[in-house]
Amino acid sequence: MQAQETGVPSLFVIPLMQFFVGALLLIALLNGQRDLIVLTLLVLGVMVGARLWAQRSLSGLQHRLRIDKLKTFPGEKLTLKVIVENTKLLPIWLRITIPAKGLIPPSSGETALTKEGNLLWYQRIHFDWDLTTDRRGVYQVGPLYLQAGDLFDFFSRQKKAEESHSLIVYPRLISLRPFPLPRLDFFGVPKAKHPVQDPIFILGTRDYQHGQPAKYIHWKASARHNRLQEKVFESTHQEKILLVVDVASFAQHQAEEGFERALEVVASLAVRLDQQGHALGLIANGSVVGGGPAIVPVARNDQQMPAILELLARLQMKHDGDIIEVLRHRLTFSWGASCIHFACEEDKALHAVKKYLRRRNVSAMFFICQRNVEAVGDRFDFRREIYHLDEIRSRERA
Amino acid sequence: MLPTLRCCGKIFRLGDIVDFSLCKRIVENISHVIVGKEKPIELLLVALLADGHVLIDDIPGLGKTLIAKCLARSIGGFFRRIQFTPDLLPADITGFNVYNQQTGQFTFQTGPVMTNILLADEINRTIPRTQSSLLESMEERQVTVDGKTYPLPHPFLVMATQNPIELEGTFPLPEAQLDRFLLRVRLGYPEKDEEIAILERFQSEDPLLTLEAVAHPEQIAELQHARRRIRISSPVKEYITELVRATRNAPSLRLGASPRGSLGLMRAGQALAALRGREYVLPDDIKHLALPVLAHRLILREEERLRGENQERFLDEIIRQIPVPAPVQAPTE
Repeated sequence: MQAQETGVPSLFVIPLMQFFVGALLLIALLNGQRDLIVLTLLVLGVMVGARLWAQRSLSGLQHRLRIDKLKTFPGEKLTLKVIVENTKLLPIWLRITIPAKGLIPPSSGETALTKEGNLLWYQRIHFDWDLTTDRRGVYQVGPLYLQAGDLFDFFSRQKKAEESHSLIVYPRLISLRPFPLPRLDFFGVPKAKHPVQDPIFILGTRDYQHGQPAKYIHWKASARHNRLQEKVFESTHQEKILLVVDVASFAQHQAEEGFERALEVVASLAVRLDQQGHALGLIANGSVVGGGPAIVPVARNDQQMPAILELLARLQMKHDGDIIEVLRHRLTFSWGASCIHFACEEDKALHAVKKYLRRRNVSAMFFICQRNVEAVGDRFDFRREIYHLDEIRSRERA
Repeated sequence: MLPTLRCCGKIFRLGDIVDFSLCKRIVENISHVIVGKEKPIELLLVALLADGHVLIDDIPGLGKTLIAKCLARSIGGFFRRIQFTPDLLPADITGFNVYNQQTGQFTFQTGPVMTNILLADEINRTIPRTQSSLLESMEERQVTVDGKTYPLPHPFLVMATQNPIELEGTFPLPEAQLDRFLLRVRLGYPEKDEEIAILERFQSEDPLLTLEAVAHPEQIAELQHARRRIRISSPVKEYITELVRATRNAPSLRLGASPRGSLGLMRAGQALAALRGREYVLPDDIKHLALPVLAHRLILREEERLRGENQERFLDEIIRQIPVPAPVQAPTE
């Protein structure tokens, strides 16, 4: 945090003026002009006093920059608050400037938020701004610039506080039409006709059904009920789903709008699948604001959805590798995981991914945003593997 | 000054009849095994005195089960532990009727719930149906099997543990079940000095093996009874109500605390006051307990959940916003 003196448009700040007043005092002293001496001393006194005042203005100034939400959805209102406390006897004039690119409407023609006010001794004030943003991304709010000076507004000093926040704007959540998950291959068993029973999660017991394997008999319950009881397992409806975004495909076609639409679908789909209790993961071959790989491994816990949404917010339309290479080297496929793949259009890369996933026994479905697949109206065709984004998007907003 | 009671022409003070310093001895006894963790231990005793149940919610390896075992051993009485697994059935908890061929009668085979201290280890690893079998026991202190109701021993304390990190293979406790826990306690990592002390203490032998009981269940039941006589002034009751009502109106919360939450906060406040040697509840007692008593009863709105927020943050904000009533004067008799 460094402070530096700044001049404001005032006659007293001009060095020439200060020199002139000093020269006038000298002449007045030589000629014994008492009134002029008093006047020039008064002016010099004000100048020196104001300068000293300005020099002390930033000391004992405590400040905090706060945003009520650091993660938000497009269109949500945010409140940015700067609390400043003057912990000294000297009253000051204060101006707050916060660079907030992307959060101020371009029509205003400004790139920073600015407010000013006066602070008396031991007074605390807060400056509030209501902000909204419509675009997904990561926005830097800060650093905070504090400019303080004397109450005459003659001199001021400015300092930069390194306090800043990263505001993460998630993709917009939209309504989706119901659609089938790519789970025809239960537990990676191709063409399995029934959901494989998960022998770990037992729902309860029931009377033994003829033909069921003897390993499913619950002997304790059978002894208690004095008749054969069998375990009832939970079907494996808790899927493991990996969402894949092929950023290279969008970057290659310069389809920025399509990329944003695809990310909205990915985010909405992730939220829906999470609500249904599925384990989710996300992988993309794009660069991420702030660095790091674009991977959230498949898991199910309280922090999974915030992690996926944050990665989607940070994802940029700049690819950093081939999607198959990313799938091959950066990820270990969970056993039984399904895959939902998003690309710009049905091209060679998409078919290569399809082939790769088939070889790995991973069931998959593909969404593309360019209209070169025939839309089938309101209903999903279960036999297809490739769908258009519009087939899953509902017209209503979430 | 402790409350007075007239009996047989004599005036007794609450402290003359019931010795709350017993709780201090229990804390000291637990400290022979557990290093640090004064606040969680105090909260366990609050739950015990308030006749409530505790959910110990933290990551593996922090001593959740150990702390529960220490408390159980310190207060004597019957202690049972159930390891909750996916194939556990309700009858494995409540008990079941067995046909006795000799007498031609059904006899009730008691389940592990018939105890003073029940340790429900990793409660979220079993299915909700089995979790729900504890509902009646926790609230009404009884179990009903085949239409017949059996009362549970007194005192009865359920200490459940769960690991909040991975949801894979777990069944999150339903709201009704969570609401029945008076407190949710988090242990947290030990400090560096504490961790060194843990290593030294457990280097040669397990101190739990030599831990003796310093109380017995009848004494605990007496303390629970005496706790009800701890005074709670109208402004403090109003403060409790304000806190609980604020959770119902908070825009970030989908579901606020129930009246059971208010009752729990009041009882826990009385228990904490008794533990700290006071005959009346201070607003600070309520403020101190609001997070462990109320946080687990709240449900976040979906958008807040997606932001990765937790109930504690919003509850903390509510606690800061609600003005604490002015200090109450100690009531005089």
